[in-house]
Amino acid sequence: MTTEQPDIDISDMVDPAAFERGYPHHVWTELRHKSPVHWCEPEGFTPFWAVTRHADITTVSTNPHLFSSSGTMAIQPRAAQANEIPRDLQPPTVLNTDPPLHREYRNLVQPYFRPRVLAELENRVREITRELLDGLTGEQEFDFVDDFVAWHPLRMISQLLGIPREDEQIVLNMTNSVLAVDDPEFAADDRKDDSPEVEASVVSGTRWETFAPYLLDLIAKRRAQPTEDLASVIVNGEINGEPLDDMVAMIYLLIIATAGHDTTRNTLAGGMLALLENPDQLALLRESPSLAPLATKEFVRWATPVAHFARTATEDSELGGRSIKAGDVVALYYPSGNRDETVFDDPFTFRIDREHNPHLGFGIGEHFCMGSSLAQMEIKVLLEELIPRLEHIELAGEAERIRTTHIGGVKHLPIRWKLATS
Amino acid sequence: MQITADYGKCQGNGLCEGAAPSHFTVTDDGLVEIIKSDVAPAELAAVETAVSSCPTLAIRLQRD
Repeated sequence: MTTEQPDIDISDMVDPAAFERGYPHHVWTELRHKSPVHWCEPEGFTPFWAVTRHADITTVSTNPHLFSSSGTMAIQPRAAQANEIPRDLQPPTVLNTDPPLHREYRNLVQPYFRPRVLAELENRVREITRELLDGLTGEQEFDFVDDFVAWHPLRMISQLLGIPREDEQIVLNMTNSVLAVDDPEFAADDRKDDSPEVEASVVSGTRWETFAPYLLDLIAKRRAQPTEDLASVIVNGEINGEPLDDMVAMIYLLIIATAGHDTTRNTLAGGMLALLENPDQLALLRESPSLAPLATKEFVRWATPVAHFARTATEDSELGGRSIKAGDVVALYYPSGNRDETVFDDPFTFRIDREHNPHLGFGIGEHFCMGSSLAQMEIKVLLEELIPRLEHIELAGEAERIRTTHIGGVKHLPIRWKLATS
Repeated sequence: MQITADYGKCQGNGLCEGAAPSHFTVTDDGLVEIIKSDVAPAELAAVETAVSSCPTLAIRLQRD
């Protein structure tokens, strides 16, 4: 076991501004090669371990008794951590619990996200896709994200939850302010008001007071009169035989609503950018539409919208030859695992027909993405509907990425296309 | 060849039943049930996909 480690400049890995230029793969690649479990002490941060290899990310993720999700969820500066509600006062969620409690939370909605159950919804996804595409036929210049893919998974998760179409914008604002707190474009509106009474936050610095009334209203309505939607399942659910209190129900709805669409949006945007940068792959998909399922997996591997999640060691252990101490924070860099040369052939090549693709884009183990099958169905259907109608597509400006080290990716993608009517 | 499941790990994500519905189903208690544990050569690809796609590494294919 070694205690020495090479000196590697990891500053881009903790700098949200660096992520605007693209994921810091140069840092991760150096770490994978020279120091795959690396002790990081950036100024202004609580020190942590960076885990960058596929195998080590898998080990941590599949041993929740050794690496708990109940501690800090993401690596952020101490100053930002100070704004958070203390962990022991935060409501339990599907994200911050460990087994066996985690299973209780997960089992509330897990059955609704199984592939066999979702298969019945494929036609609805196809209808949503066609409707959105029908609004963009002919020669168009637009933002592929704001004017198209932002609405695609959003509409589906809203329908599943039972949120009416006229309220989709509320969900979109909620998501952007929760997940892109470091990006002034999304956080600005929320942060103009510096009055002290709205400084509490449940999810990394977000002023949830702005949308809590909406969610509490939804909870009250579905409790009074349950319907067939997922919101009714959640707010009338039980954990260990006890009904969910309002706060727990609200955060659960928030998690499903936000996680239920933003990462899919970012994956579609990142995947489309990759198709534009690799015209041979776009041509291949056009020639072979049956590659859509494999292309979907490659979209997720390539974009990996969750840049990291953190775990906290519950006891001393060894990982990648390093000694982890109880209480240490461990950051799992999924995009790095998805470029691991020991797992993927030519990991930095975007190949829509990649057969062997055990990517970690949905995580692995106890906290594996509950919506993975929904996300994959949405991406696959979108490709099946879009590609045959696409007569021409090109970039019409620079892609812009989210300023964040956590849930990242392409936020604006200006394109010009010509789309057949149907 | 035999399929085995570790019920301590299974979480009922149901990716196995999506990949190989002939061999796996998720029951009302949220755990996998192996409907058929023998694997015919023609079924092998689907079962292998089911095994490799399990996010909690709960199912295994044991070769004789």
